[in-house]
Amino acid sequence: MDEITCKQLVELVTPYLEDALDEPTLDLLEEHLVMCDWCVDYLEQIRATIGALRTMPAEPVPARLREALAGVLREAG
Amino acid sequence: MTAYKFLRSGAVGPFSGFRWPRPRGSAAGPWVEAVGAPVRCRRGVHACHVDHLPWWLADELWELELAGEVVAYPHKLAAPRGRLVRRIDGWTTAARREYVHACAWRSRDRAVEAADAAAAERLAGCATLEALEEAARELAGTVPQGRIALTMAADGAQAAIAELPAMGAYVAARAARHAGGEAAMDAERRWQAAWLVQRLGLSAG
Repeated sequence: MDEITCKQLVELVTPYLEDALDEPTLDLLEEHLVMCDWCVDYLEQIRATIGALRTMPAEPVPARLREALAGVLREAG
Repeated sequence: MTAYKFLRSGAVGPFSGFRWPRPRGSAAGPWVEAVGAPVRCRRGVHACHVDHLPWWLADELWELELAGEVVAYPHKLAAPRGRLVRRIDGWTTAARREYVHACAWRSRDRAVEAADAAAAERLAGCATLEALEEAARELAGTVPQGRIALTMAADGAQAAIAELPAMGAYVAARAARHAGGEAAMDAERRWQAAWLVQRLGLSAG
C-alpha cells in the first residue's frame, strides 16, 4: 500500500483516534489528511461526536439487555 | 541541521496541534524537546528535507534547526530536539496559488500526451483553469483514449481553482505515475520540491 484512499481512511479513523495504527499506515493516513479537506472534515466530525457523547450522562443498562449480552458472552466463551 | 516544517496558521503543528514557540526578533525560538527517542509520526520533532516538502504543504513554512540524532524516513525527518529559526516569508497565498497552478498545467500536459489529436488540441488551447477543467471533464466522459489522464487533468484544474496546493501536487504526481510509472512520479515530486527551493530560496542542503 502506497497511499490511503478516502474510503480506507473512514475504516481507519477509529484506530487512528485510539493511536493504534502502525507507523507506516499512520504516515500514509497523515499524508492523505494533508491534501484531503473532506477527510479532515470527516475526522473533525468524528472527534466532535466522541466529545459530545462523553458529555452525556451514563444510562443504566436495561436488565433484559444485560442478560442477553451476558448470554452472548457466555456462549462466546 | 537545517530542515523545514509546514505548520497551520499560528505556527501550530498540523497533527499534534502543538503551538510552536516562535522566534523573537532575529533570535531563533526556544528549543522544543521530545521525551524519549523519536518514534515515527508519534514522538519527536518531525520536519522535512526539501525533497519531502511536497507531501506536507500547509499554511506556513518554517525553517527549523534540528539537534540530536536525526532519523530519515521516506517523506520526513524526526529528531529529539528542534526550534523554529525563521518563517519562510515567500510562502504566501500568491506563491501557493502559483504553485498549484503550475501543478495543474503539468497535469494538463500529461493528458495532452495521452489523448487523441483532437482532444489534445482542445486541451492545449485552454487559456484558463476553468476552461481546462470544463474541457477535460467533458472529454473524459466522451473520449475513450486517455480517459484517466483527462480526469486527472480536470481534477488538477479543480484543485488549482480551489487553491488546494497539496491536492494539486498529489494529482500531478499521480498523473505522472499514470503516464510513466514510479520513476515519472518520483521525478514529478522532485520537480515540485525544486520549484519550492527555487521560488522560496530554500537551502537544498
